[in-house]
Amino acid sequence: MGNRYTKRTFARELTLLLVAAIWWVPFYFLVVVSLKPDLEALQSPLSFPKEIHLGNFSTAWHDAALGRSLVNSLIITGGSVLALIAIGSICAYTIARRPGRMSTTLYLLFVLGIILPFQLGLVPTYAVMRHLGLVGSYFGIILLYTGIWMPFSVFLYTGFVRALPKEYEEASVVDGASTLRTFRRVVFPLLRPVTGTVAIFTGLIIWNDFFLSLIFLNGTKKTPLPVAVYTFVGAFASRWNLIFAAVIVSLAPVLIFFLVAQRQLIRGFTGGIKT
Amino acid sequence: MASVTFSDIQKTYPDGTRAVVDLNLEINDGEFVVFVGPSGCGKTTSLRMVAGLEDISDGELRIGDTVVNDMAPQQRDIAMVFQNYALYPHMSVFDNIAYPLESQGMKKGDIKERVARTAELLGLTEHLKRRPRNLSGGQRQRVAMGRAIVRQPQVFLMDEPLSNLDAKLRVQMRAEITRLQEQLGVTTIFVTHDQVEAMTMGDRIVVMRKGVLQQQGPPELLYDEPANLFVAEFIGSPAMNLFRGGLDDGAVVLGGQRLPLPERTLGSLAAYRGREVAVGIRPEHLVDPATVDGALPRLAAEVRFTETLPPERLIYASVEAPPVMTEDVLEIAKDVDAAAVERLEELEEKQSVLACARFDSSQGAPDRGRYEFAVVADRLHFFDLDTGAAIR
Repeated sequence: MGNRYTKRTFARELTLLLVAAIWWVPFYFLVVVSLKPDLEALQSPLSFPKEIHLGNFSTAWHDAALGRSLVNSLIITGGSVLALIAIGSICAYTIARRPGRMSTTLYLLFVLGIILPFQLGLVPTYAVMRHLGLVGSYFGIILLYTGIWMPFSVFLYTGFVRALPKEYEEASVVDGASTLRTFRRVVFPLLRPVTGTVAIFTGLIIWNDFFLSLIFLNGTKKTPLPVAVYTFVGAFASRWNLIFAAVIVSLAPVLIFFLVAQRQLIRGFTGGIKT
Repeated sequence: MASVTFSDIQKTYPDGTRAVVDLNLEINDGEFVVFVGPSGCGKTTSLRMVAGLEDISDGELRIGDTVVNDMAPQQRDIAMVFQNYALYPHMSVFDNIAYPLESQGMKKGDIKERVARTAELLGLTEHLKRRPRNLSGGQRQRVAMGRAIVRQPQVFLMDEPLSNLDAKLRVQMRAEITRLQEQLGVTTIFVTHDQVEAMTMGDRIVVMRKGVLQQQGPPELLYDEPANLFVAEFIGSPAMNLFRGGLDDGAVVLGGQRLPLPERTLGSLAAYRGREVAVGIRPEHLVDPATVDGALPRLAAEVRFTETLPPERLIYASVEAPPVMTEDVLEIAKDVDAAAVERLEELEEKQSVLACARFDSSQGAPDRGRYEFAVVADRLHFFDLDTGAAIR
């Protein structure tokens, strides 16, 4: 009875489709403008292109060195996310499993790290990093992102570890495994759902981040995609067709990743621990 | 394989709770010992101290000749089966069983061979590639056993491993664990809540209450000669019938009914003459008068209901006599169900005991109404009402 397809269901579906279509509007403009020559992009940015102009992509790719920036983005995002997962999970495991004043204090510090805006300490951070020779390096920016997002990672992991039954670890220890092996072979694989959350969430933020990359990497060959896209933004004129083409290029890896890994990601998020 | 020795073992938590008090026990090499008791009696804590999962507050614990107080679980060469099995959900059955061997650094070829042998022993060969979540309760239980036996440890520790299984499977797994233990000859400590499990599986039973060992010995000894009221009430299903009775010249008086006692029994009760004691009668010692010698004393009761489960029939009857309401009895009732305490309190008000008699199902007995049981008087149990200790 509940499964019958009624007019009401149809109306509900149609509404949902319309709402979904609204979300496609900006993407439509992004694609349309990226396919127009300079003049047409300025004169009628919203109309469908009179002629498909794919040259914007090759111009953007060459002029902004998008290939190199893409690799930079992959290195910076990949490095930061790996560090956030590796260090965050171990740190949270220790906090969750070693109750005591020390763990509570550490945990509160991490929570504080989430609440306080990192921009407050930007100037001293820049000064210290410059002094240490970390400005303009992969290591420096990875360290910075890792530091900024570590509280979030630790917060998520700690909550999950606390809910994880202790018996798995106890069984592993009784089975003769060291603490490190227990973590690597038993605990970490069980943290998969939260690892997925940390990876996607922090990965997207770091991939799209413009502000910190601009401050810490501008003027070097290590700039990631958002800064490279900014190359086309001038003080008196901006070449929006090239900017949009560059944006599409920078979106592509994320979209491809999502399309390929969609099923695993959703399973990971919603799965929990199946015993 | 090795012996396990508890010497003055204590476990006190930071909040002052004493989970285990002065535990002294020697478990022999190859022996199957069952720790039993109600919730919070200290049985699991004792087991976890052997595993190294719980610190020992005081005393000395030995496995074989080695003092293991400060040894990490990894160094103790023990294996444990957990209540919920704790199978690693992300690993296949093969990987679960192989895990302890990998942790030892064994070569892959040897691991494969050992896992295959263990799987064959437990009937798991065709399930080796499956994940635990795709197995039935009994199969999961076997995988947990496999993980424990695969590395041939010195001691097996089992923490209520059958409690998650349904009744039929539990009986089957009970037999399988006993068979495996006999076959492998590994010293085993088995913790359970269920006294039937304890009676049927162990070479020796250790009864605990509030962290204190109450009695230990073979199942028959605990059943026939319980050391105190707690053990008497806890061991046996249905439980022992307990009455408060007065001792006068040559007899015990339950309510208004006088049960003459044999000379041998009277001797040990001499010091309690004129006083009240707890009187225990096992259900099988309330018998059909038609089947026994006419000299046995009679106990009149009102039959309330019967339960027939061939080959036996349980007859529940009210006896007008005061029940025993000591702390031991209430604790066991509380462990069963809060309603059981209320029922006991109701009976205390009525000064009545709902006694149970175990008859052969072929024997005739009334479903309801007045009935006189014959009492096997030389098998009665007596306990001091103040200390709970058996009077012998």
